[in-house]
Amino acid sequence: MNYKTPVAVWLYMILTTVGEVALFYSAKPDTFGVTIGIGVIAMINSLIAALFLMNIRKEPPVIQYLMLAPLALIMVLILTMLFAFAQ
Amino acid sequence: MNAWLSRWLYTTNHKDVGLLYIAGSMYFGFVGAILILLVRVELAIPVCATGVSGMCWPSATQTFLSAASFNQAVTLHGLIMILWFLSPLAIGLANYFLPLQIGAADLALPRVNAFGYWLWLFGGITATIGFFLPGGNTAGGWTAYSPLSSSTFSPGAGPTLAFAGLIMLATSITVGSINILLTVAVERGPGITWRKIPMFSWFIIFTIVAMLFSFPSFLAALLLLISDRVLGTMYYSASAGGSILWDDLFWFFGHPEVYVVLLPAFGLIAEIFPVFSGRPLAEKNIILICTGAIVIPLSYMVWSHHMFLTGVTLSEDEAFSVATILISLPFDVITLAFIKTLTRSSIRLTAPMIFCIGSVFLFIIGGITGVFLSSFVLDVVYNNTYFVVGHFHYVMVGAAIFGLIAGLYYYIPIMTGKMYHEKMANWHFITSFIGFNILYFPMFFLYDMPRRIYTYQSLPSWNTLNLISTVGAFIFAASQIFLLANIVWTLRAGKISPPNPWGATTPEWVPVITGASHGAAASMGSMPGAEAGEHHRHESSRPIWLATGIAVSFLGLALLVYSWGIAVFILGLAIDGFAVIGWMYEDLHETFHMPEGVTERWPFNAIPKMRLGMWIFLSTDVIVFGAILGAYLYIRSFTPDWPIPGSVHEIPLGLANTIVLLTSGLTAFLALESIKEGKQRNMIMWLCATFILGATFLGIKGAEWYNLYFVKGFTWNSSIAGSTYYFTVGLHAAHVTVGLVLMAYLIRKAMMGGYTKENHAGIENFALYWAFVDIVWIFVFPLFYLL
Repeated sequence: MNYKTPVAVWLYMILTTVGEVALFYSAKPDTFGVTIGIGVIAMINSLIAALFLMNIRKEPPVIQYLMLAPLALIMVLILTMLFAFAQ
Repeated sequence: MNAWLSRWLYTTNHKDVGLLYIAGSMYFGFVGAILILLVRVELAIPVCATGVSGMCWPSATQTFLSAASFNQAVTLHGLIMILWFLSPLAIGLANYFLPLQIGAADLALPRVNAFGYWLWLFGGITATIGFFLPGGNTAGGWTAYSPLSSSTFSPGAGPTLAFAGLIMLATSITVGSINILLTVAVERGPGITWRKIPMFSWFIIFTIVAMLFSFPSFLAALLLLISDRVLGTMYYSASAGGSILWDDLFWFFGHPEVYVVLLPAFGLIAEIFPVFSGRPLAEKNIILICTGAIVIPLSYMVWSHHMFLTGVTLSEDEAFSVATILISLPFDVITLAFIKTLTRSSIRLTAPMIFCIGSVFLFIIGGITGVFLSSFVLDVVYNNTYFVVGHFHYVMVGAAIFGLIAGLYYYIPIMTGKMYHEKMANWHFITSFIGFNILYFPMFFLYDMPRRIYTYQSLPSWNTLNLISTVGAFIFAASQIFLLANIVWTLRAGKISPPNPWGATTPEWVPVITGASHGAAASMGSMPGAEAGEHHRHESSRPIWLATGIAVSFLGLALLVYSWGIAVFILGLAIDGFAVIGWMYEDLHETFHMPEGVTERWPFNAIPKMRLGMWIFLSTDVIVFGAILGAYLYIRSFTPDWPIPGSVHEIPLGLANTIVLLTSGLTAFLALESIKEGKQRNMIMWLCATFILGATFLGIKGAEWYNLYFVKGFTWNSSIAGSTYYFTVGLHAAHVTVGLVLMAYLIRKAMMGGYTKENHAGIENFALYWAFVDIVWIFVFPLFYLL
């Protein structure tokens, strides 16, 4: 069994999660840049988990669309909610 | 147990479950009709002006229904008719006929199908129990707008039970959607390619897709609501903008639900028109493309038109107004295609056909009046008036119910093996059509009368129209006696149906197309020997017990105000534990086994059935967690005094727990890789490691909660920050707990040698689920601990 890839993915996610916390302690927490940075790390980590732990990269495109469709729909909902009263 | 009773209680056969759905939906339709007849009696006449007597209620406090009773009746009428009558009637037909049309032996997951039915039925009963409790039932309208649905404005156990019933319904619909979609994807008979799927099944597929992503949003909204009511969390509190939060989550489900109700009827029309007109369906491919566009993305892009007057920005109003006008276009195309099918054809005016024509006619009226409401300018005038009531009843009752009744008549020969009484069916149509229009057409002229008022002062322009409407309601309701009488007559005295009385060409009538042993053989009244044998092999008591346990635990939850409520809750959990263990036992010993035959599976050839099922389930869970996290983000954006990150939560502890969970993701992955190579011992070792890590995660979480709740006083009802934290993390922890239960089962089965290099679907599905749980936490940790 090839342990290298899963262990590397796991190690990457652990390190970046530690990086999130380091980012939090490194600056004022409510700094916009920190928020963006932590958000980007979380998104990349979730993408990596989907690609390598769920192995979605090896699934046929129809499965990828099946997972992308609700993501897209829920993003529309969340953005609509967040900007409902934005001027 | 009596054989007849055990057949209906323990059946997992798709035809039986379909018939149970149809019978159940008719029962709920009857209840919903009684409720609205009470409402119409109340509205038939106004309150007398001072010093006047005659055909009017003596005073506002001396009316047929009190304000509270009226509100409860109208609320439950809406909920029951939409969710326990219209949709389930279609689901019943789909259960029975979709497998026949696509040549499947049964639905992909028969026990899940039966579980979905019982959960739906018990959900309906739970939702109506409130009528018999002190304080009555929920009374805030079927939309359950916040804060009307809160404990403040809807106190008591009755409303809580109604919302618990809705949770059961949303869960039932979600698992049912997964099951039907899975069936279509991997259980089609040989030769049934996508192009050969009949139109009714196509429309059911579209309906299921609409359900798949809309009901999880409803489920999320209801979980938050029940949490507010039972635990005292504050999701829908005014300070957090809770009214709009509910509106968004509710209508994200609520508008697609319109198409969920409508599309099966369209599927039946598309099936019936060609049969009785002698012409093939016009523009079949264009109809499919239009319906696909309606379902995704358009049906999910219009919900905010229900919120034009809530104060959202003008640009959002404009966007949703345009999207709403846009969604009317594919409907125009579909309607024109239906009409084109009939042009210059030789129409046979049988009952299914006339009901279909009636359905299209009523849909045109409902559709045109809907275009008015897509304008946010006109909506200022029409919003919350009887014009809206008229519009949606033309679409959801007129178009949908006439189409579904057409389907019932069309398929009675298959379901009963007998022919119905044609003349009685014609009278059914005539009286229904007249009654329906007398009931709802006057409502378009009541565009200045607010809906949801229990009585009104005498106004010449309202009095007559309301009286006419009430007369129509009684005609429409009474006309349904023809249907019931016809069904009874058919079962008792109907002539034996020829195998294909209509000369239809679809597989449910001509089983030889798919090779499936279906057709007009199975009936409500009898069960031929061969079929009975097939049925008994697939009998299981687990679904009804599991649904019973859930219903009992919800009952206990709603009745926590009483000292014995907790005992009922624990009893429900115990029943569920018994059912789950039994279910797993059946799997472990393969006493309930559905063999997989040779089927058409493109484009899912390479994906095992259960793995595809898990992917579909996870796609719905994306919506549930997305809605919950979206609610959190929305609330954060509205709440200025949020605790400073790091001031409440122990970040090092959260980090440690994140590392534990991510590590468990790795071990779960390694368990799967091990069994793929046939290394059973390694797989068991990695599974055990995953179990220990998962349990450690929950242990740390428990310790963290104890510290937060009892030491720091950070409770779920002390602040909105506490509410969002406990609910979101709690929902995730519930997923972890389910994972641990699954793992215990997997380890047990693995130790019995149940998984091999070739057969390891269970491990594969679990690894997917567990990775998803990891991914959710990847978002939860920074959102709640760091930002």
